[in-house]
Amino acid sequence: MATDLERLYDEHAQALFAFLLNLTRDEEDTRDLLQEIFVKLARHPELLSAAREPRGFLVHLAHNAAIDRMRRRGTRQKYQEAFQAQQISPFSPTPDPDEAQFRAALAAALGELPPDQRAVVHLKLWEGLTFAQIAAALEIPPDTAASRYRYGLDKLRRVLRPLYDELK
Amino acid sequence: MNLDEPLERRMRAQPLRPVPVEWREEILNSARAAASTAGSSGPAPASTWFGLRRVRLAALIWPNPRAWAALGSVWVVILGLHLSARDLVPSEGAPRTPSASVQMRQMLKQQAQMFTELLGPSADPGPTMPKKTPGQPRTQRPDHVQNT
Repeated sequence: MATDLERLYDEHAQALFAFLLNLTRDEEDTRDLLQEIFVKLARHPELLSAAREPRGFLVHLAHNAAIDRMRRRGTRQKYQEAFQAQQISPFSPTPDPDEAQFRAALAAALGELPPDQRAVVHLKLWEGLTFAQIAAALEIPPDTAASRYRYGLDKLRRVLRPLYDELK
Repeated sequence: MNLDEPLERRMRAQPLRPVPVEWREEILNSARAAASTAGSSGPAPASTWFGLRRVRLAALIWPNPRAWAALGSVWVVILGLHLSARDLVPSEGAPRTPSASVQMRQMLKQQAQMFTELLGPSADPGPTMPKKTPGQPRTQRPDHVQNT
């Protein structure tokens, strides 16, 4: 059992961490939620064994936990304020100034998206999930997943296009 | 929406922050402690039939317990309204005594009128209640009625 838990952590913790950080934009909340997920898995290992796709199931757990946490903590505005104050970015730092500028702009633009669009954009762009997989993980219809991705991506394009054209 | 566009490719290429290394042992230790606490309280929850049912039910309900609680409350209200409405409506099995006695009185009245017409106003219509053979047809009533 301990070995299984370690294996699960090594396989999925990075993806869950990135997803949770992008959603919550708070490192402390992300840590609490990640711990909550693995405590649940430790107490009920049969939950994961019943799932068809472990990653999808874990993303589902993470998404629900993050939504609950965000609702308890208040409105999206509070997260925008926290983001502005702490400059929480889901991306790795880089010494390259142009790259750093683009990453900061991308992080800010992602933070402006509603959480439901941000979740889909993250899972599509950085997890490489299909709309069917995203729909199953977030418990939404595939068409809804596709439209949220489209709207989110359009907003990102509008915000980032001028900087991208300038930097390339 | 074309992922092959350069902007999308550049966005996708941005590396995500790694999970802090020190979190691994902290989180795994917490999870192990939680598992051992659950184990020390008795048999594993899913090792018994009821335990397995409870765990599966929790897996169904957990994602949105508030929604399930709200739905259950709505059903309780609906059931309460249904039960209170039933009390105001008389059931089909209630005895029909009032309407049956009204019908009987009408029958007796008609019989009395018939006797009066046949025998005259001075005639005693006799007992109006058909005795012992409520289902007896009129043709089998007393002879003096039939022969007139």
